[in-house]
Amino acid sequence: MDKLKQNIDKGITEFYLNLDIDIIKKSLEEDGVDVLNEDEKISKFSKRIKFMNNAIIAKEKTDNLLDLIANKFREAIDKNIDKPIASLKKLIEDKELSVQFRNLDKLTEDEIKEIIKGKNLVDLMDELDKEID
Amino acid sequence: MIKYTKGSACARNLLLENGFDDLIDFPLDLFVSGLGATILYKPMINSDGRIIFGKKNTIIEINDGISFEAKKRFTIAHEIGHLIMHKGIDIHNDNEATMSWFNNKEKQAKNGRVEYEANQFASELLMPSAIFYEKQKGIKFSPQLLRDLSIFFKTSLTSVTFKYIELGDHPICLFHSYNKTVKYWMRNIDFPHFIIDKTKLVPPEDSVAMEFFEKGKIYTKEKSKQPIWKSTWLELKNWENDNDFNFYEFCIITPMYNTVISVVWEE
Repeated sequence: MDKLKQNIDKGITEFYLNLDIDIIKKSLEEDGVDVLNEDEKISKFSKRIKFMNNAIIAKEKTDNLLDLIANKFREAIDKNIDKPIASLKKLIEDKELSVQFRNLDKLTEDEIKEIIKGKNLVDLMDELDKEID
Repeated sequence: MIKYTKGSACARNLLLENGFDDLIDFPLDLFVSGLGATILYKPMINSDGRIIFGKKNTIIEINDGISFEAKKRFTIAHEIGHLIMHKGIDIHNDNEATMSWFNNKEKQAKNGRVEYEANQFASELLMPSAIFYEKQKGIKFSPQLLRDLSIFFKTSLTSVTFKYIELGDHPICLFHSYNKTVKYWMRNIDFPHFIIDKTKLVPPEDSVAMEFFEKGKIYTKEKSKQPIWKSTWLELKNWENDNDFNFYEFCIITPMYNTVISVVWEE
């Protein structure tokens, strides 16, 4: 009996799913559903989901980019590569940052992120973006 | 009837395009990411926020020393305004002066139209007009109403008051004083009384604002609605008697900046 009921339910659902969308809407309206309002809600919801999806992807990408920048500088300090070290030193001097930042060997990645900011950071992000692309 | 300015219309469109009624419970950091920019919190001197446009990337730096969530939200929303409306500005610093609603005309011209637009944008982004109007509709005006709106929208009392002037049911006016000098005043379009222009003058002696400047008096929440005479802030006509009116003053005081916003209304 249960199986028969399930088959009937399935049949009714499939019948409705294969109907013309306008007929379904009309039927829902007859049952008191505000179809226009529901349509708008669904449309808003899907726009929000799309936006959030893009936002999460973009955030992940930027976080990775910022980590990459800090890593590159960390590596440069460890390997004693002149040019990035000179740039970092100049940034520290220009910004008159506190003494804690003077010892490059002890800089953490967070501190490197702290030093490189503003226009310098955006330029670096643009540059590395190109490399990744 | 809700009237949209360039800034507020832009914010409204942005919300609509992305399926949002409001951003009350949506993290603004994530909203910024969705718009292709990144928020970074950093110590900043003489600046609450700034936007830096690169060729491809954009960073919004927010002062991590801002202690009030409402102010932080407004700063972020203001920078989003620049991001959407003013692409191409190289480096942009915003502080109390650029984000103040109450700069006098001289200052406003100096800071430029872009700041005004960004403030209008931020106000609409955080307090969508249609929702704001519905939330206050039919509720008697009081300081508590402003507080309730401020909590609901997660914005400051000042920005809520400014929005109420535009959209509120009850006609109110306000006076912004700084360092014992009236800097600016505004009124609802339906406010039926004549305001004596006290710009650049000291606040009236019998005003609640002056009580703060002279005696440091700040009323508790319960007593923040103080009765005043009509003649305190407004013109009393020859044929009028102060005793025939019920006027009140509620002060939004920021001791750190020595500013007072006096909200004045009649019951």
